[in-house]
Amino acid sequence: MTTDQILEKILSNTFTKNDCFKKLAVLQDFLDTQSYGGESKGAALTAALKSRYENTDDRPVAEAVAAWGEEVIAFLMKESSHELQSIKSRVAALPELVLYLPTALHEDHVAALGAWCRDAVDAQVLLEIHVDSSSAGGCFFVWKDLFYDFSLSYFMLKRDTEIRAMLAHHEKTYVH
Amino acid sequence: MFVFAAGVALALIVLLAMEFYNSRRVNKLTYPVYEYALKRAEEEANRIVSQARAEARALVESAEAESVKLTTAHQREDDAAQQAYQSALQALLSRFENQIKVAADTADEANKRISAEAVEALKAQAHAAQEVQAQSLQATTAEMAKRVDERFAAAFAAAEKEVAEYARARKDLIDARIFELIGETMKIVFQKNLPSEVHMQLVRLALEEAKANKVF
Repeated sequence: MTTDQILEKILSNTFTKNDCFKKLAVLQDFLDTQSYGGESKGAALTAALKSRYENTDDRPVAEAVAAWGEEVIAFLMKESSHELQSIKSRVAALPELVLYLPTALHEDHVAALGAWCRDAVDAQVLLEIHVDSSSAGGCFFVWKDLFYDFSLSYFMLKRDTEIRAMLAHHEKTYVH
Repeated sequence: MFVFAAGVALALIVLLAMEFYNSRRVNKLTYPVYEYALKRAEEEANRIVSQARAEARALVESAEAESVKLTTAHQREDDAAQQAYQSALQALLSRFENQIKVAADTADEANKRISAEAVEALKAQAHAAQEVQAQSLQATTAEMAKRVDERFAAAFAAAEKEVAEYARARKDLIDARIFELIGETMKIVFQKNLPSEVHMQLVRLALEEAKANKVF
């Protein structure tokens, strides 16, 4: 298995950098326990991973890691921690889209947004999401070190003439 | 030795006695002569002094008489000279007065003649200038009135234009502020009232707009 293939598996269900590093940390933790005489050597690694985090807060993360497949986990367990470090470095170097959203979104919505970005922006883009209430009606984002405002302000400016015409009409009808 | 000393002392005493006796006798003889000589010298001195006094008195008297005589003579000469000077001065003054009078009369006549001519000429000039002034004043007044009217009209037009510009600018400013307020209000409303799915859709729309604008 190559690093690119592993990266592809990781990116299949990971859309933000934070999420990615969290998953890699859980995987690292699991691999460490397996290396130093883990619980069940005979059982499937994915099952072992899920059962290790069964009653913890990291259960959804562990399930997401398990979804990468037995092959990935076995490969990383066989290789030294150097491979995992290399993957972390590759992840850190992936293109990043910093989004400023008016409210926190559910992870399904984040996944949907992430999928759209993979299609429209970059096949390996990762999101970094912040909450900023002044971005309501759209969003702000930073792409390639440039800040863009596509919030309500942008759309209002785009229709500036129409809105002013409406204001003028309102003034004539209700004020004078 | 004692005898010698006694002899010397005795001799000395005798000498002293003789000296004393002789001087008394000389004094008795010489004193009156001295007094006589003194008296005679005094008398001679007095005589010389009184003679000198008399001579001096005589000299002073003669000098006084001479000075009085001289003073009187000088006074007479001065008076005569003063009188002659006064007469000459008077004559000169009279001559000057006559000359001045003649010159003044001549100047007066000439003045009168020139004044009359000048007055006539000035009157004529003033009259002509008055006419010219009246004409130019009329023309200037008309011109000024026309210019003032034009200026006022231009100033009014400019003021009206400025007022219209100002009103438009203020209106634009107010519109911009209303615009801003509407935006801010809508953002607050969106944030508070819209469900998460709608936010997600709006974010998608924003990203699609960005893609359409070739940001990505």
